[in-house]
Amino acid sequence: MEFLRKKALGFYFMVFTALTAVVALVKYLSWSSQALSMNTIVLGGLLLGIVINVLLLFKDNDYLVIIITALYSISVFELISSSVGSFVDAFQGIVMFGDATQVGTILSISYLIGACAIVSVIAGFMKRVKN
Amino acid sequence: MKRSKSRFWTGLSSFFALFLCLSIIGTNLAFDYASTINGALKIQTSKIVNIEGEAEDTIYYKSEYGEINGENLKKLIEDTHEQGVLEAEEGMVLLRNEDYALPLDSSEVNVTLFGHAVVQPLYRNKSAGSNAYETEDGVDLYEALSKAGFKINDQLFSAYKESSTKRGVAGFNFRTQETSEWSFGEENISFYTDELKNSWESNYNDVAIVMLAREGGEGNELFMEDPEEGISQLALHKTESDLLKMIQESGKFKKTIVLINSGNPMELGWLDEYDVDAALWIGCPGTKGFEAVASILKGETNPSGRLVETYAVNSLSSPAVTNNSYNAPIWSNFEDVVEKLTDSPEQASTYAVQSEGIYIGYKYYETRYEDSILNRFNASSSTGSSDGNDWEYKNEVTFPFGFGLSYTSFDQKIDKVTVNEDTVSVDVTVTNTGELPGKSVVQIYAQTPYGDYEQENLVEKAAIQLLDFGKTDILAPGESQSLTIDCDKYLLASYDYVNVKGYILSEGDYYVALGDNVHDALNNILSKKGATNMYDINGVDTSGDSVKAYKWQENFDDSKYALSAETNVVVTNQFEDCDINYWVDDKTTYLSRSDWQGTYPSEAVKVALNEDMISQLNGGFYKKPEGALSISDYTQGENQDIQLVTLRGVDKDDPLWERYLNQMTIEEMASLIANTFGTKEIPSLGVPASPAGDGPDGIGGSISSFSEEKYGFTSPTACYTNESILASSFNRDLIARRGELMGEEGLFLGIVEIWGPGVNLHRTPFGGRNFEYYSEDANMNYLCSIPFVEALEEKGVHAGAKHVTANDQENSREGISVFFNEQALREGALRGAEGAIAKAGGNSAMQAFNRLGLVGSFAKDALNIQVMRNEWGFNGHIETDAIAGAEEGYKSHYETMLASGTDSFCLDFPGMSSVVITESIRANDDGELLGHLRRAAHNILYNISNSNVVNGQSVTSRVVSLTPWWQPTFFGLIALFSVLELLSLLFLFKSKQSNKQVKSEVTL
Repeated sequence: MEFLRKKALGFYFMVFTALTAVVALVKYLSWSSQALSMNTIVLGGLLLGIVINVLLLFKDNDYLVIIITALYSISVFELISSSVGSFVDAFQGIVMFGDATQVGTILSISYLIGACAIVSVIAGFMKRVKN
Repeated sequence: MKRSKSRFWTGLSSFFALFLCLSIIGTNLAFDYASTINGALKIQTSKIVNIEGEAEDTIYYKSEYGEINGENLKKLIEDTHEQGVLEAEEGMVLLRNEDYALPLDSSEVNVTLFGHAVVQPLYRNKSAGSNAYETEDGVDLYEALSKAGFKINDQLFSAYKESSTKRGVAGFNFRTQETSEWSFGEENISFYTDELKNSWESNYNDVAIVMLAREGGEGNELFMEDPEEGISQLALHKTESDLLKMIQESGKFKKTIVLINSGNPMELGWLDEYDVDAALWIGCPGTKGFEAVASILKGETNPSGRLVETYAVNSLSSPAVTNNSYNAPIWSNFEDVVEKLTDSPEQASTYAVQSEGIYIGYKYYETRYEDSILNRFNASSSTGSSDGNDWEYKNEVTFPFGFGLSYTSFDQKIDKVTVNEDTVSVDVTVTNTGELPGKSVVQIYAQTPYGDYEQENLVEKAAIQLLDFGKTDILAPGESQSLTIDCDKYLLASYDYVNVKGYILSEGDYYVALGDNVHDALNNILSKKGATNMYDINGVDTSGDSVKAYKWQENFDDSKYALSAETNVVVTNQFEDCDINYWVDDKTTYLSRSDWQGTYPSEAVKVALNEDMISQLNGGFYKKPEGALSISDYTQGENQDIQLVTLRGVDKDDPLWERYLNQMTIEEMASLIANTFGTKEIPSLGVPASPAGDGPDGIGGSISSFSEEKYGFTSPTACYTNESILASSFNRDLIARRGELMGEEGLFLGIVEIWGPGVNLHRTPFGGRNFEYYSEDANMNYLCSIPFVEALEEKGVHAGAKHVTANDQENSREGISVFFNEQALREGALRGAEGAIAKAGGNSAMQAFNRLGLVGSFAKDALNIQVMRNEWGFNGHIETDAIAGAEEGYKSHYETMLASGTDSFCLDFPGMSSVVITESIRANDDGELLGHLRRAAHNILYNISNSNVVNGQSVTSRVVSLTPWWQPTFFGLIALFSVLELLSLLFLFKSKQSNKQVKSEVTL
């Protein structure tokens, strides 16, 4: 309790990003192993982001917040970028470059990681530890 | 205060980090898809600069409209719209017309449109090509009928529109953010409330027009057992039969007309049951084709289309269905050997043994019919029959190939047949014996001998095959027209893959016959043979008409077609390893008419992979040969100031080409092989950017509209009728006109090639892309390809036949192993491409996704080098189907594919092929591979130099690169966010330093 008493709102935002990122990671691992489309940049960005995010919960550091944002951003944009074939198929209604039926799942994972990136930006502006 | 400053800079720095990542990854992606973006934004990436005052005429390919400008573009667009209507008018097929229900009387104008398809018409299936129908140019059935003066029941139409029912293939909807499952898309009978029924109780009941659609598409095979009712997608579904019954039982409508809006043949044995008065196959009519429906219903157009495929009672009765499409199995030991499959197992799991041999479509039904009439070869056994009883043609076929009705009647008679050395010339007189003007299709069919030699050596013969066709002009009642049709004797030859290993002319009796359809022609031949007990397509006894058949004899000849007509090289077996029996002894017996009962494929062939097969599936065969040349053995990058246009019209083997290629660096040549619907410019060598369009029934891909900047307005490229409607017209002039108009569009767009025609077979009725291939009949594919390709090439736009070869199904198309015997391939799947390339001189070819045997067509030397180059004399470039920058799987063996005759890699946006080939050449000092790269560059540049892309370019011209505006914009964004990120980090650092200072001062 003492630990939490010192924490400000920004801290809880970072808790949110950590938890959301873990959910995104689980979803991503489950989907990519089924769809046989594991992307090491997406996975690496998420994993490293989560590790640093958890570290940040115990040792606050402004630079780590920036790094976390960057990692989650890389992860989400790389996921969308590497899935562009599926988006093209979905727009054109064909099956050629990817798998249009996976677009819903890709978007749902992207929303989660994207939320992590945006919330970590917001958390950057906020006080995470009380004075 | 200091701490809040820190937070501000932390937040801002995070914010900029996010955008910096976005701009870097976004830029990378944008550059990968540069050609698509440039196409969408209509940005040219190169221009030709000429020396002032140079008067040389450099317009090598001229438009029939004159100057390339907006005013002439408008004329062209008008003509393409007119062509779309003409194709539909001549290609739509009247299947039924009881008691002259059609044409409608001028008083029959109050109509009710039934079927969900009336609000979701199938203009075309989703695939490559133009989507112009989605613009305001698109005319649907409602608009077409309204414009033609029909009064339509709006209450029901509006109810359909407001309904949530939608027909759909699996996909994702961005608007609703939902992943959709396949849906049949017809209303349940409960939809038709009493209120709706009242809408046709006392009005709008002259005619019930019911439109039924069947949708497949690229990657979307039609179902043999659909998810909704578990029946063939081509069968009548309960929602549809309920609808027809409701219309029938209402007793309100004077007439019921059914429109079949489908690129696939529906099962139509139910037309009698629901008292349907008339039925019209309208295919996928494209942007303007629905106008033809109105015109045909009103009688302004007399239908003259003829079917280009068999309408079976039960689509599953085709022997090709047993092993193909959804019945293509997974290797029986796949789970056990999956770990040995290093080449992306999911692209190596499925195979199709084409045990049906040559017997696709009518060749099966009609051949079995003849043998059943002649009571031989166990043709009447119950094996393969739809109802489990003894096999009878009349229980299997609803409408045969070549069938189609008219509002008038014609008499056709053979005046003379002349059998020449290379042709069979048939003189025919056609007389309109009815009361309305109309066009008549002259269908010439042939039968070749099936004797002891053929039976011993497994040379299969269809009892009848299309040999050629013609079409009359519009004939007034009583008017006659004579046509002379010179049929190519080559199409009478059979490929003997067992004994001669080449083409033969069999010994014995040959027949040519006229017929209103293939079955009618066969009856005429049987009549000539003196056979009895024949029956017509309605099952009514007939004696045929021997006068419409002609008989002559030929001696056995294995030399006449032993050499290729194009190159004089020996034509012999190239695909023995594509026969499953090559890998596993006696694994399959191909369907043979010598024993229908014993050879009909009753179940899919089960095959287990052995070690040799796995090795083939794993691919990646290329190894630098012992004693290969070194890079230094070639001259590269030596500037001789030869511009590409200098080579226009220069023979491909002229030494000047070698000098030109010596100018290029390895990287420049490699940049050409990564195709992104076109190739990039190389200004120093005078190579302009050369975009390509994707067809076949309209120009799509990255360029699908005309530039507003260039023409003062923008407009989409035309979406013509689907390819099988065009074929159904049986009108060569109309097919050639399509080629001319697409060529003109290509001239106005400035594109080097169009990926079309589609030359694959309708192997089964379920093929998702059957709509963009001509026919189930290989000779029809061959005959239709030729006028289209010749006309397109004439405009300086290369015709790219696709997909070569045997890509006759959409599910599992990537990597499926297809097995066949060489007779079936050469007389079947290959023949359409042969017409387009060997006979018509098409200069581009796109390979198929499937494997030929166990090796992908991209890596099949036999196809790319032996057949296309050596036999057919192909000079242009061979491109893969969408390689999409593959980094793994059978599409990623770039060195093997290049060495096996592939020249370019389709939609390789990241340029993976360029990178891999360049690195491989340099890392291994591989002159052998460099030689292949030079060959590929040569083929690609040969096409560019002989296309309209060099219009306006003289030997003194220079090609200048133009940087698209979005590229510096992206770099600017990266620079901007980098600077902002650095600045905010700097301020954060300073702020933290300041905090520390304050803290230490407080501590002190």
